[in-house]
Amino acid sequence: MKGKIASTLLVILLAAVFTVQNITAQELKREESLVYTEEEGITMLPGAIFNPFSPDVSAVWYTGIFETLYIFDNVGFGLIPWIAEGPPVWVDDYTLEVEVRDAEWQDGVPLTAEDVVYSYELPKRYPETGAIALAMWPSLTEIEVVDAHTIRFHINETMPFKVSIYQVLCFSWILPKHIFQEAEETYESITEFPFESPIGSGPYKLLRWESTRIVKERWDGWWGRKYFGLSEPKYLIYVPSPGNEETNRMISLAEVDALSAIAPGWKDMQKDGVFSWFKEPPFVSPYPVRVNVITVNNERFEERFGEYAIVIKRALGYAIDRDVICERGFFQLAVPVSDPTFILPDSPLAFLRNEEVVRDYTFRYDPDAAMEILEEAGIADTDGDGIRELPDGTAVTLETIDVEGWTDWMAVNELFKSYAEEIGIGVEALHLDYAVWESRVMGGEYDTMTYGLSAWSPAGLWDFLGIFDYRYPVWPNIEGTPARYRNDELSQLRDEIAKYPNPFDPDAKPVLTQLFGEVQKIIATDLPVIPVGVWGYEFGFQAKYWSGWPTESNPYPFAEQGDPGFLYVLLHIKSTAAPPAPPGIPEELEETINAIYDTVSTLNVTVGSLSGQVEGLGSTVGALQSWFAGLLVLDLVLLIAVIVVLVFVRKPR
Amino acid sequence: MTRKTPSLHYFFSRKIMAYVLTFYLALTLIWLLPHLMPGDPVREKALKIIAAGSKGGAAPGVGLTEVQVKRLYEYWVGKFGLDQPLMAQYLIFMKNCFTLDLGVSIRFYPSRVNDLLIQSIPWSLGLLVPAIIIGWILGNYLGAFAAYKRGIFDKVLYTLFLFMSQMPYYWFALILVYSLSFHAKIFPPGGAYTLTLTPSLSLTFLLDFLSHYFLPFLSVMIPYIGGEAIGMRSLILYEINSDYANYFESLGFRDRKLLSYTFRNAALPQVTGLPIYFASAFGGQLVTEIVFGYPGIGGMLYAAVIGQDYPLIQGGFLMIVIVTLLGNFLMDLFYAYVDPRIRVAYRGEK
Repeated sequence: MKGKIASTLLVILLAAVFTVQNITAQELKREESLVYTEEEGITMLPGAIFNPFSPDVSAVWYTGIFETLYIFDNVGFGLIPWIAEGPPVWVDDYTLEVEVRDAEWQDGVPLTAEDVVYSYELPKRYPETGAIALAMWPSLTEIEVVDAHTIRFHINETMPFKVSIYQVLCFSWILPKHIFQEAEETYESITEFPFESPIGSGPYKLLRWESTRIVKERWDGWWGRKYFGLSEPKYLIYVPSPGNEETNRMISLAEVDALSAIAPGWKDMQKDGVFSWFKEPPFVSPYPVRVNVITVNNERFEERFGEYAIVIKRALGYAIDRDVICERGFFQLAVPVSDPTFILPDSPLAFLRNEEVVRDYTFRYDPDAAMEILEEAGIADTDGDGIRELPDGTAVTLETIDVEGWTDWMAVNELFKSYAEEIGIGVEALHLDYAVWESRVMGGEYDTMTYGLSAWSPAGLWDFLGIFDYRYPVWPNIEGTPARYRNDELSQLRDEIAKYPNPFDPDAKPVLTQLFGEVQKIIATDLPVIPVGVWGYEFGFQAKYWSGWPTESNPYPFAEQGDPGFLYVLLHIKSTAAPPAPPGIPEELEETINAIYDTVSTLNVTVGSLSGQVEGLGSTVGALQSWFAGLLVLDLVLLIAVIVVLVFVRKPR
Repeated sequence: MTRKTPSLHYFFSRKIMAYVLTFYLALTLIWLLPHLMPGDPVREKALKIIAAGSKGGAAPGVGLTEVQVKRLYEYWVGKFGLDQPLMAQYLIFMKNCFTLDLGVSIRFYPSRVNDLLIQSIPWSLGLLVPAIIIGWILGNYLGAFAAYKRGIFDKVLYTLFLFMSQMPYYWFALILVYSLSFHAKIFPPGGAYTLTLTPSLSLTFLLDFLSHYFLPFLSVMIPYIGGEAIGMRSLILYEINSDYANYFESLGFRDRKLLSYTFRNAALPQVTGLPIYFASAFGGQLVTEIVFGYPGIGGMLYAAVIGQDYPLIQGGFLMIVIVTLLGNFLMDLFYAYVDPRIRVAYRGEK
């Protein structure tokens, strides 16, 4: 009898749990959700960690939660005020003033100038964060809080690298001082702070974290509503992706709406509603986000070929067919660039091109010219093995390296090899494991390699010149750069360039034009790297649920999902779902409906509170469970195996 | 009785000694192998920090000076204890293994390795355990059936088993995705559940979960069926020709009865294979997880290996070692229970 009662009770309890959960089970409407992904090589997320200063936290996890002072306008190359009010103002040559809008944190605390300054100063105490704000500090003496809405950057007169300040204004997240200050007391390093329930100032709040997705819900009380309005997507859902094939599949089937890497086969996906900036090659945006080059290991070239190094480099410049490399090596995603200014003639920054350099040093595909250059210098094939030798008999052979699996770089290297061999330069193309590649780059064990550098940000031009500046480490080196090129004159010119954050400023324009002219001349004569092509933003959209994406016909500043600028994109996209038809309910019915609705709402609240209690219980059980889960399940496996065998082996006779 | 007990005791203490030694050697290997990989995980991490975005991304972390980068690098080397002499690192690892605190992941800092494993194991086990159990039962039954029926039936089934066991399982997974989800559109092609659904105990979610579960499950189970069936088939063929089977046959036992006897005798070696297969399948889940975008330990370990995340690699492999050893040990115990001959041998009886 007792057993019966107990089992009845159990069934009722289970049924209750089941129903309550069923009612509260939330299904997000697909047409209200913007789903996005990024290829991170993982199928599940490591934990609910949202601290932007924690090094392994991907910015796509907290998209929409945090904001920056400005958003980089990559179409007009300017700054769009976000938390900041109006453009930054130069009070004098060494003082920059920024106004902060009436903003608020998601927990209701006002966002003030104090928060901004705190966010910029924090990395100074924790250099392990490697935060971009660190790059700005050598150029500053202090950041002053003038009042709750005004901050002033006081520039270090001995090193006024203003570009890095603009970079920080656009890319350094503003974080709540009241929360991080507490975290600083709790944790030894701010990088250890997980920030599991992130409080930001952005238009989206964290709704749920699961190991397979992150759901954020629009915060309708967002402070920015009065300035920008609200974006249409009610939910932002992030899903991790193990690889490019998986992301391509997801976007083709409209499981995701946006991704930030595009792969070969892009054109075929257009029939599935997938597109990018252009409908035709090069597909990606026209802005020179990444400059692709064949980097020469200049130290080794000098050592091996001495005075002939420059001859060989120039010959290689003529030997390669950039059109073919961009088409077959970069899968039609890049545009050829054939002069050492690295700036395309139709770029907004075309005024920085040194026309003299363009005239005298533009490379065209001309293997005959390449061979002539070599012949003239006396580099000829004297022993008839098909490979040229220097006059002293040293064979001109090169080792060019790339990473196994990075298909675009591998293809470019193979093409480079075949072009170089055409003019009698022996090339061995090595596709290496990443770790091996990296240690060879660090150790300088290569002659040439394919390489790409970002060049489109407030500090982009200065940034790009980094490959020629041995004083600042450039990936994958932690000392020096992959070009292994030292030229103090160029480094000094680069320092000068760093003083002009806005290339369109009428005062800066002539100075920058002159500085770039000199830099380009040095690059053209020394040719530390061989220009190949430029690459725009890689950004794929799916048109099924959302329209209004930035394209050639609808151009506006755009950004990848992890960038602060993605908030700007979110404001522009529109749902493709038709607006709901007006209901047309008779008035007398409406009252009844309202009454029913009210009753249901009350019921719902009751059920909600009940489910809250059940959830509370659940989480306690869950906590207990997670400890034992590992061992328990292992044991279970074996137990089941035992049972199975028992059933078959010891059947009662 | 008094004579028997010490003998059994002796037998088990010897077994346990062997297990402890194996475990120790395995731990040493687990520690050593990741350290033999080329590259430096912390340098990798430092690079990721300073160059967030230099390949493709738009938010550059550039402009740090060499001094800043060096300081950053040294901080992280110290943080993960990689500045200590190798011997010290080894001892710390051993200590951690025995206290079951595997430290902090390098690739997924500041997550703890224990948490990462606990979070990902249920997904993998949820896929593997049912697949292996059902695969074992089906495989052995089908194998026995084929051996028993013989003739054309056996020939067809045997070929099929061979094919099933030898086909690359990632290929099979791709075929499943291609045929049943891209073309027939019966099953979703990937993920663990629909992205807009929130996990709950509701029927909608359960059905959605199962529809996502089915293809990965098949892709693990079917190749396993093939392997098991081949083994069982040969074992039954052997048993069926043994003396006792001939004797029973001549006594006029029914075929079903005869098959059930031979099955029991043949099942033993098949059981032995379980924990070993389980451990290897555990590590080999990666491909299934990648093809189906399914969460689990495989993807986690893969990311760990790529990121040279010593603590996480060690944690993952430690688990596999424990599963294998524990499984083998339990099988040893289980043998004694299930097979009277072995029980007798354990006790030293003649």
